[in-house]
Amino acid sequence: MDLALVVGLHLMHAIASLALVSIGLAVIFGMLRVINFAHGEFLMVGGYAFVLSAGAGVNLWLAMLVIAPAAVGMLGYLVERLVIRRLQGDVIATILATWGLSLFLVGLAATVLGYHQQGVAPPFGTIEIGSYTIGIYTFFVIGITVVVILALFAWLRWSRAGLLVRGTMQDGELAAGLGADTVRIRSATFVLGSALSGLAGAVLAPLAGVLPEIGATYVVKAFITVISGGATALTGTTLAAALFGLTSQAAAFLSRPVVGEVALLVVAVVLLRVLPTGITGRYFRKAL
Amino acid sequence: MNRLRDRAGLLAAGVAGAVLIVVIPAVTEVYVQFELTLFLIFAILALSLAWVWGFGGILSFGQSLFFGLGGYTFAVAVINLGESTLPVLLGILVPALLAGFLGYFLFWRRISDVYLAVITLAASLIFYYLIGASAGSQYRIGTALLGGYNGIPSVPPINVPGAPAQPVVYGDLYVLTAIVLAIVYGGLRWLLATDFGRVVVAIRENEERAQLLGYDVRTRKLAIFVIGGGIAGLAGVLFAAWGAYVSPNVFSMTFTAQIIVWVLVGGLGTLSGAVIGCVLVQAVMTWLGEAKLADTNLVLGAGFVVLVLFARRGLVPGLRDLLARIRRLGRGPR
Amino acid sequence: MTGATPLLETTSLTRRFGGVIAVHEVDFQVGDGELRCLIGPNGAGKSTFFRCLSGQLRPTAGRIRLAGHDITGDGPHAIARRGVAIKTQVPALFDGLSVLENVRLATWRCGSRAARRRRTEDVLATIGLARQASRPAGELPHGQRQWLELGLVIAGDPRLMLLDEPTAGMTRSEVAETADLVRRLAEGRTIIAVEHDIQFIRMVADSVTVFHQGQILTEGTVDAVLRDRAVRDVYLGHGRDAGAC
Repeated sequence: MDLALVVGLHLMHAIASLALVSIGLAVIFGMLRVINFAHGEFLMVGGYAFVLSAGAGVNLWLAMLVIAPAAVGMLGYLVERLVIRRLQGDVIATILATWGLSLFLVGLAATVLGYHQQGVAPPFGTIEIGSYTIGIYTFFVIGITVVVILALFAWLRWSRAGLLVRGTMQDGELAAGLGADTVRIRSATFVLGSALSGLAGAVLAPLAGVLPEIGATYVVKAFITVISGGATALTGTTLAAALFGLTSQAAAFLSRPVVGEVALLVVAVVLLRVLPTGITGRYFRKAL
Repeated sequence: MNRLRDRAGLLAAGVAGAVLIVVIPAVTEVYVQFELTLFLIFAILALSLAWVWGFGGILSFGQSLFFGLGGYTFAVAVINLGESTLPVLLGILVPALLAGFLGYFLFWRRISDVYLAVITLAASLIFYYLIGASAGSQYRIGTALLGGYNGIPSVPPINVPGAPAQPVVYGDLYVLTAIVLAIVYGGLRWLLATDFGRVVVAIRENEERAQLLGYDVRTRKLAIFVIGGGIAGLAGVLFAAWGAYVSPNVFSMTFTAQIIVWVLVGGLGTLSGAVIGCVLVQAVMTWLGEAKLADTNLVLGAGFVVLVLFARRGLVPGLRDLLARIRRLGRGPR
Repeated sequence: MTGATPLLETTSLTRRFGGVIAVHEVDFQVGDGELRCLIGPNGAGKSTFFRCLSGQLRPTAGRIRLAGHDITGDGPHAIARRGVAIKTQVPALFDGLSVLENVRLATWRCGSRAARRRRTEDVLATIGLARQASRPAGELPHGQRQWLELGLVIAGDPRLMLLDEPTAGMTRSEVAETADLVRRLAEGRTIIAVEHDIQFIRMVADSVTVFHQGQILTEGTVDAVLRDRAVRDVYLGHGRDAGAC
């Protein structure tokens, strides 16, 4: 019983972290079709914004839930304004430029902060479930992921701004013709995706720590998750995160962590072969 | 006009080849040649992607997979056999076979570019994790320990076929690599001029029309991918022999992205661009690393962003644009 | 319609896009040597029907038979090898290659090197682009692009040619020239053409099939079909096409 509970928690945590890592990219790639190779570094910057401001004595929650998303949102604004917008949707140029940006951010962090790991101890301490010890922070990660996804979903579904965003993604020219300022909407969407990445980086920082190169460990999984999700970014990413989180954690639990990583990738490859347009390419087409 | 430019290009390639193979070994020190060898190995790898992506339209994140697999195959085989001829061939054949398998898996179902990229990327990462987890004496093939993230050290060099006592190292390895690069480049050029190559170009120009004319695009793409895999594997063999070492880092995302950048910097859709782009990027990276003026990543990254913003289609076409713009400026406003 | 086995026969051919049924249980036959025009308002499903025949789209249901062979679900290249060639609505050419190279690519299954060269020259002469042979296809004006694509279609000497709006965007005189060309090509071949241009249809067609809302409304000789009240209703309901009739 206790074991089942603990395993269940680990599974949910695996799913939640995967969804959290991917959600910003789901907005940026899934909705804007911008391939942001610097996504991992956005998470890294979020992590640093949190760790450094918490280290400087700022309230932990303020640092995590406000400062980190705001900092990365601002970074996203600059990146969209100075780089992405100027490339006008040229895929290859965007790959190159964001790859350069990713190197630049790694280099910048390393120059300013050095190539060593920094961190903050997970708040809350631990609880005992039978003979197992589990960090209370695990619950927090699961909870905040659920909140973020639901909030994003509700915002897209029911708010006027959400409708504008969806309209612009569907047909930018048409939306512009109806008077929507599509340039600003795209910019705002990019900032939103960036802020979500910043939040994710901060939330995961107490568990994983931060170092300049940590982005590389996030970016691949995030891309695989979002792309496997298919056409409808939010639902697809959530479903893909659930599938991959479950597989990798189950495989890791039955064998070794490395088997979990490999299982995730194998499932992704097979999934894309069977459903070449991603999970939501075939099903859930009316979802968000 | 076209033929004239082709001939000029061929002449330039010939001169460049002669400089690489004959002039450089005559005028440089061995340690310079040793460093240059690595550039040329990477240039072969860049050619494999330029071929697969620029001509086959296959955005492969898997070239590093074939490269690494070539290196590992060679290392394991040569440690076991002690003679390098068969290991070299295996180092080409095994990645080519894997490319064939992956290609069959991918092209027989219409899979769009982005998905193809993700599948090839996932495939390289699978190898990264698997080989990374192979530390310990139970993970061995014959007498070769796989060594996990530490890789395989002291890989024996390539030797003169049939003569294990005559290794090809340093200056000799440089000449060998330069010749291989020239052969690969020339071979691809030749291939493009054959009937097969014309169809390849046709598919790149308009895949749908090629199909409607009765060309089976899938078999062509498979052939392109297998050839690209074999070339990348060959580069991997040379890499393992050059450093006497191979590690899972060759399968990493960072290395994969780097290959793509080489090709894009030189200009997609050209073969010479890949070689130039690769050598240039690697030279700048090496120089930055040695000069220690600033963090390599920082400078390189900033350089890329600027390059893309101002020369979007790669160096060769970008320079052409720049020249035209300067000429227009010189003429002044009308 | 006549003869023993029709060259092309579809039974209950259906193609859906999500909830939209673009082609709905179409039973269609065309005999060997016939020149048939398909007409119908925009969105009637003609192009989708064509794309199913050429293998570019996989039918949702139904069967396609070519000279008795079931070709349903075959890929475009396999269908092309059985002698079906299609001219798409928007000309699909190898824009970066020269006119000559374009045609040459289409003649590669015509036997020996010399035979292919002769065939290439013939085709260039037929479509009247011999003088433009070394120009990149991407630089040709619109009418000539249409002809070049016709050239690619005939180069492989197909049994069945599918022409999707061969005169789209052409001037009056170009339409007449094209009609002339198509009539010459029709010698000994079977052609199905989607067309809006009534002048063209009168000049070339043996018979006409009218598509409406994914189904066949009626079939018959050109004059009979154009006099048909139902056909007129369909077109008058769609103002833009009314002028064509």
